Amino acid sequence: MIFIRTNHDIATSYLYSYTEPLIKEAEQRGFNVIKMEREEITEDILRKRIKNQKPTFIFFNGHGNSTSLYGNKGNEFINLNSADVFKTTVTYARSCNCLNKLGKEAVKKGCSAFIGYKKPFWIARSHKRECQPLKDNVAEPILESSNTIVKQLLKGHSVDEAIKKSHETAADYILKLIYSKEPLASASLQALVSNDGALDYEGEAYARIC
Amino acid sequence: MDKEDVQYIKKLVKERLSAMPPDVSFSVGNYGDFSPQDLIDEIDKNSEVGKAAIEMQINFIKKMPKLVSYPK
Repeated sequence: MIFIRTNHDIATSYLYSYTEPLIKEAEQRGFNVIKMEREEITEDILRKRIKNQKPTFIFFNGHGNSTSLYGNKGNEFINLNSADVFKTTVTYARSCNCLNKLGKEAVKKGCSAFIGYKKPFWIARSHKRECQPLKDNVAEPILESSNTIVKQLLKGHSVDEAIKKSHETAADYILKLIYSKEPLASASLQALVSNDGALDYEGEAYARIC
Repeated sequence: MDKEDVQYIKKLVKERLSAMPPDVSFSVGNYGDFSPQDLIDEIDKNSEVGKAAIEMQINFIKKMPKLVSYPK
């Protein structure tokens, strides 16, 4: 499997940090995890890695829009013309709006299933924890709910099951946040509800990565 | 939706944002990072981020009755 992780601003530093426990879990389960970071995040390098490693799962973390994914310098590295790169894989792009066109195009070009978001991906965060994203309890419900998708796929569950479990995780957090007396809870709650509503997939419901 | 409705929704969303603590921010993809006050300013500018903030809040308000009906 390939984990693509950008890390060039606050938002991507949070995404980057929250992939760490997933990489550990994947390796503990015996998966060969290839990390693509920094200047490695180009279409050419991704194609070479796919050709050599034949991954069943690609997990992208970074900025995007309805037609493109962006690398570590804010450069577009995948767009509708290169969406075939995801063929035969299950791909999860933790990225704004990417499902609308890119996800559809990827599936049209042979991607088994493309998981992503139909709207912006919001991250609420506490100023006090910017340097320690994994200790930011404002961001945690948002990123842990999305991490659930990968955890479920690693356990052998299907795309549809992984998405349902992510909604359940989000619902549990939403309940806690609604009744929380923590003043920052409303920010987490609104971002989480928005992301959870925007999460969806294209392609095969029963696709699995193992 | 007529102009009055749009103005009312903007006011409602801005009030909700202004009630948030100042030590929280939102990252909105490659638009960048915004404090609640920044989002209020973006709504006033009618920018894409401002529109996204309105959409986020409206979605939340619409879903709220269902959310609070979950058992504690």
